[in-house]
Amino acid sequence: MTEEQGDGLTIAVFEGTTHQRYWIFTQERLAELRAEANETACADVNEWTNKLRRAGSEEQQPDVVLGPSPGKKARTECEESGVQVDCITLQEEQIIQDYYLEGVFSLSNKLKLPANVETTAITFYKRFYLYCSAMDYHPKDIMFTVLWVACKVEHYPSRYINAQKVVLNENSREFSFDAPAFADHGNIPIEHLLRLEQVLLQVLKYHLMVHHPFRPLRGFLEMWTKRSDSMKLADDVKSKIEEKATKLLRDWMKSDILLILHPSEIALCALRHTCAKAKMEAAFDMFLKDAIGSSAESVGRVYEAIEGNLAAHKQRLKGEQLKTEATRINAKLQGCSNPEKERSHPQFALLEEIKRKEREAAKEAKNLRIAQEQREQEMRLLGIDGGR
Amino acid sequence: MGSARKKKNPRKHYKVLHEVGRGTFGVVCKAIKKKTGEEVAIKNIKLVHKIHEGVSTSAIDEIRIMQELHHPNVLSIHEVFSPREGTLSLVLDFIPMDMEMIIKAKDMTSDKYVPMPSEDIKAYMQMFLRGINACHQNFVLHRDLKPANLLLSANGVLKLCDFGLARTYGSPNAKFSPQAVTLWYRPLEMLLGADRYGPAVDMWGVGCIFAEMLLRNPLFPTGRGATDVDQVCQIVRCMGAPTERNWPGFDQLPILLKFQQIPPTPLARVIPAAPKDALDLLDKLLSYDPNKRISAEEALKHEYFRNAPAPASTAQIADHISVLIKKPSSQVSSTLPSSGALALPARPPS
Repeated sequence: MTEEQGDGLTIAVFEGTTHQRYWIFTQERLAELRAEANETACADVNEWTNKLRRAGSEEQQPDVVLGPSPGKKARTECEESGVQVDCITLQEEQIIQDYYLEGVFSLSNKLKLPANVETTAITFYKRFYLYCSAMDYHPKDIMFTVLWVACKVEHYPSRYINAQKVVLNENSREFSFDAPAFADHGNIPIEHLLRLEQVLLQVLKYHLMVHHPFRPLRGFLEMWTKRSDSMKLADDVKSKIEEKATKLLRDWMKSDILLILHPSEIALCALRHTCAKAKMEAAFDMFLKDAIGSSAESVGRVYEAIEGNLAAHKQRLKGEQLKTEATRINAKLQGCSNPEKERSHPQFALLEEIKRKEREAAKEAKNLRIAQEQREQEMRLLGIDGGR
Repeated sequence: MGSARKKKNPRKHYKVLHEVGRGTFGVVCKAIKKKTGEEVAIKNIKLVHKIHEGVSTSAIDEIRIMQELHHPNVLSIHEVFSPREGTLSLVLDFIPMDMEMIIKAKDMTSDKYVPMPSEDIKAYMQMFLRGINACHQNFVLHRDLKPANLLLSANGVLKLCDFGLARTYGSPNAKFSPQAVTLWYRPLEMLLGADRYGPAVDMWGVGCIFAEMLLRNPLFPTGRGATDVDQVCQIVRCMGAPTERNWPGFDQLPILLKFQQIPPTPLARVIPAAPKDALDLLDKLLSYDPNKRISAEEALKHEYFRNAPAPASTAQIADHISVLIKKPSSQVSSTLPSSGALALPARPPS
């Protein structure tokens, strides 16, 4: 028997999913969240850097790049010390994230990962950077982590091996030790990856079900081929359209549409686009009206939203230009990575030490306060209250 | 500010009482949510960093699936958090009673089974099927149905649990392991090596558990260390050999066994005490051909649920099972009942 449950059901089933409840946003909200993530990280980096500086000035100077940060309002205690870290801007944030998003795609391509693994990985990546900044966690590391977790989530065969480095092996299509396919992308130590796996899961709120547009696409095509009239879709045409639409969808995933629209809407638009290219608009509109009961206009509106998003995406840097900029931002990132977030950060240990001291001081203060209260109470009980 | 972004460790929201279970994945503890006084179970999953696997796929599956299923008859997941590096904690409803305990409950003084009224069985089945239907509508296969995975809350509500083996289906190339599902509740197509299967595999398990409630004993029990072939024999001895007529294409499955021409035993003889409508539903659940096997949605519309007696209310069930909770005498014995107690007819050795 087959497992193919290609029916339009997904639309109804999508209601109430974590995907629908927590991970569909408006364009404006996306911008807000990204700005917040960048701002919070800037504040964090400044706060911790200054704490480290103060702690370090007792022993040695910490190794941080300092400089003026144009356009960034000073809102941390560094105002007092007058030192401000040169954080990456929101725009730079986007460029560096885009660069490594391309990395997710190229890795997925080299490894011939199926569409569902690829789309899940990309969705995780995009969801992650709504709540974190590239200064918190480097996108290169997150690129590996999302692929790693997406393979597990989608049950892609990935029996991973090795002790030191995790890479994706092209031939066995596994995560394994040092594969040439990975030369352009570098490696990530396994301990680091496993720590980031937990960070990723937490930032994703442990919502791991991603609904892809591929299933509704199959569902719509299935409906279309099952029609009994002359508008029935022939099987050979169907497979051609499916192939083209799937390719188109994979390409669309680079933009933000999966964070804005429902998967079935996206699927329908991809179908419409593919049909238009094949000069089958009339047949598509008919199918739309009869089988799904929606009008060409309503799909058209969604389609415009997609077009807008894709157009915005096309404006972004590409190719060599993207690479040059990314290299520059990468260098800048070295000076403004958040020392609190990752254990491999050179100053992580020092920071932990500062935190421990802070905690101890707070505890001490609390104990003092309790002792003080107790003394006062005892005095009250002994009737010496107000005696002084 | 950096520290303002820090959230309190969610672990501190709970007061852990004591351990209630232990598995390969880690430890389950009973705990109290401090704010509400609610009883919860915290399942701690230890991550195995030594073999560099990180969060295991079964933990990922369980979290992934339970986060999506919201149904009164499916155990809810309250929260997932990581109390410290290397551990994941799943906060679930705390429900100490399960169907296995109810089926096996005996009165210690008389050594007789505590009766399960047919209204109760009907209500259990209805809640069970609703839970399964919710899974299947979300493209989730449970794949490990057995009485111990049907929990009963003190309010008399049945809840499906343990999604550690569950999978989502619907992707075109997904092949599954034919090894899932506890042996006694595994359908014939899986035993014969089918690696492409759908919701029907769960429905066979529903049938086995339905029969078990009626019989008070497993329908197809096999001994410790039994193999897949033993299980096939056990099923075929009762249900007869599959034929090209009742299951077209069964000989195309990876494992081909030569069956003797054993005729099926009528279910009315296997479970003589069961009413006719119950047997009809059971027959449809235990259809060899997975394509002909009744779905959860159809099963809920079966006349069994419309005919008298009406299913017991949750209040009635709560009342009935409260007796089991209170009486320490109705302890469940851990050993399996001997097959001598089975109401199965004598059959020729195969």
